Amino acid sequence: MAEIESKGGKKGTPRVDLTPMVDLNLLLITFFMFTTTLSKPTAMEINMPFKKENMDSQSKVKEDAAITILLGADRKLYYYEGLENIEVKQTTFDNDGGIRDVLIDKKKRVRALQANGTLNAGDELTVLIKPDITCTTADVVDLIDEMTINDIKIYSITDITKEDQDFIADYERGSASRPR
Amino acid sequence: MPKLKMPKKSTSIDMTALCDFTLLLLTFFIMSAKFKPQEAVEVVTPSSTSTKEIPMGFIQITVDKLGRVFYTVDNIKLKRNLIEEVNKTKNLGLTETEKNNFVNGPSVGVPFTKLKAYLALPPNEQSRYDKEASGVPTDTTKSFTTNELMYWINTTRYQAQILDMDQPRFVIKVDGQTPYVEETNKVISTLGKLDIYRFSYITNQKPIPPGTALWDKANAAAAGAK
Repeated sequence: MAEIESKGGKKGTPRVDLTPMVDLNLLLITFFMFTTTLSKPTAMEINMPFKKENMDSQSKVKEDAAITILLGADRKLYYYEGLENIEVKQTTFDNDGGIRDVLIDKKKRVRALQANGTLNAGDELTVLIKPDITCTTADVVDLIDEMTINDIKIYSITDITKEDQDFIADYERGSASRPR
Repeated sequence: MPKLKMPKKSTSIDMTALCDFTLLLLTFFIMSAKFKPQEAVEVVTPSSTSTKEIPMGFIQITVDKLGRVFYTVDNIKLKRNLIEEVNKTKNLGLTETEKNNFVNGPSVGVPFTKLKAYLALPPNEQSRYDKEASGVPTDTTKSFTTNELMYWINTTRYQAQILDMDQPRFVIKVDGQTPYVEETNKVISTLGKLDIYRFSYITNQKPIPPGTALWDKANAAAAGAK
């Protein structure tokens, strides 16, 4: 048997050692894996409100359908409903118990008001986003994305007012003295 | 007891299969590879659930963590016209080489006063210079002298019109850590001053959170497709 084997070995094609080739291939694979951008960047479209003089867009918003969200420092969000008799609350970007739940709840209530006739069908939930000086761009992008996630069609980003900044300051002062 | 005969086996394994397999993987990665485009500055973009691809032929405005603004035009023809126009109106006295450097270079992040010196540098020194560059001067005013970004955008749009191109779309690539009101807003209000209210942010994709309105919508669309 051994004789036959050795004979066959001599007659057959010579074997090439493929180990270096495999090594090289793996090296190249590693290189390409690292240089490839796997997660493709995407584009988030956005429409900014037209800034025209003599146009008071807020007057058209029904008070019951409006919610204002203020973006503060350290990813903190402050929100209040309506345009008068304001009670400011604070929330976060958390998946549970954060701004998303607030928006879903508000949306439900607006729909209920539409059903009982307090609001017209055209008075949809309107979100006013006011970034304070301390917030980062990621906060704004996350909040706009939250509008897409919750299917809120009407929202606008506007400049923060002195009053709104006072709301945040008051809230922070209040929460410091408030018992936990 | 018969004597057990252990067959003599060689320790070398057949590498052919492994070689085939690695080559296959390699081919896949080469085909799918799209090299990271040359960027003037490092920017970590925020995430969103958007799945839209970045529109072609866009004009990119990059804002880094410190609020430095870089202006990037992709279209070579438009770039050529743009630098000719800027050279003429701002009296920069650029040479042919410097203009070519602009057309072939990635982006601009210097004020007009330093543009000639910047474009005279070879490409590898330009990218080094970008690390300390001050960015294109930008503010919230409607003055073409102090708000140079506005000048760039306006000239680009004008040249696109002359070339009979579609009006360029704008994308903003901004770092997540950039202060919004102080830095990002400067670019957005500059666009607003030129009546550009629609633009896109470049973001990383993140998954849609389950149980939300968008989740239902995406599922309904997927069911409809089937």
